Amino acid sequence: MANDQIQTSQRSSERKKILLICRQAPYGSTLARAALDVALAGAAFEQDLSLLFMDDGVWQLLPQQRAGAIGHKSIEATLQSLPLYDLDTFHVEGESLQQRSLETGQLSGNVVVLTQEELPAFIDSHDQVIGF
Amino acid sequence: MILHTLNKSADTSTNLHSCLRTTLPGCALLLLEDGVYAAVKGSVSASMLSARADIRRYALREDVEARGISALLADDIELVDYAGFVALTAECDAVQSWY
Repeated sequence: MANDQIQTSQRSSERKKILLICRQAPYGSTLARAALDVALAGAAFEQDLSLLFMDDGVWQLLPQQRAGAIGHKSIEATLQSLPLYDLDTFHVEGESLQQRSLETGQLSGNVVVLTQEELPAFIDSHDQVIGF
Repeated sequence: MILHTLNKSADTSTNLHSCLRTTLPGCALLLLEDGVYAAVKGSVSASMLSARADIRRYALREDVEARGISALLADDIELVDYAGFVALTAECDAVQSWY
């Protein structure tokens, strides 16, 4: 019994690879903001976090979001603060960009494009996945 | 005349299809909230909108600017602000919200 507890506590103290999958546009719901909150909290606890943007989530990465016009804070501006917490790479699904007529150069931040074929293995390489 | 409003991204809902197939020529369509993404140049939804030049097509300026897509909008979409939204509402007999 005591041995089990020790093993459990050892497992929980391991640094897990956590992936946040962001699939929603920035202001139509509160999910984009929720993902950022989790990213910031995880970063504060020095977790190994990755961010993947796909579907409408890629809209979050467009620069010059003047969100004050609709009473919000810019999601993109907050994303740009993540490198302060060593979260400096944004993974993006290439097909999601193409469907929206977007190019990598139009996005802000250090963007790494993954193809549809690369996504399953990329997602599988994480210990925990949280969808937003 | 009916004012149709659409507030969801065309990539996550079928609202744009439903809206366009039920809109008479001469009616107005206002894209707002995430609906404004439908007007991004080069997208499938933008060409669907362009194919309906018989409809007056607008996007709400505040929502466009908030999302950082001002420079990406198709040329045949007219921007209106909240005052323009109110004017359109007053001008039309009814409002149909696609949400």
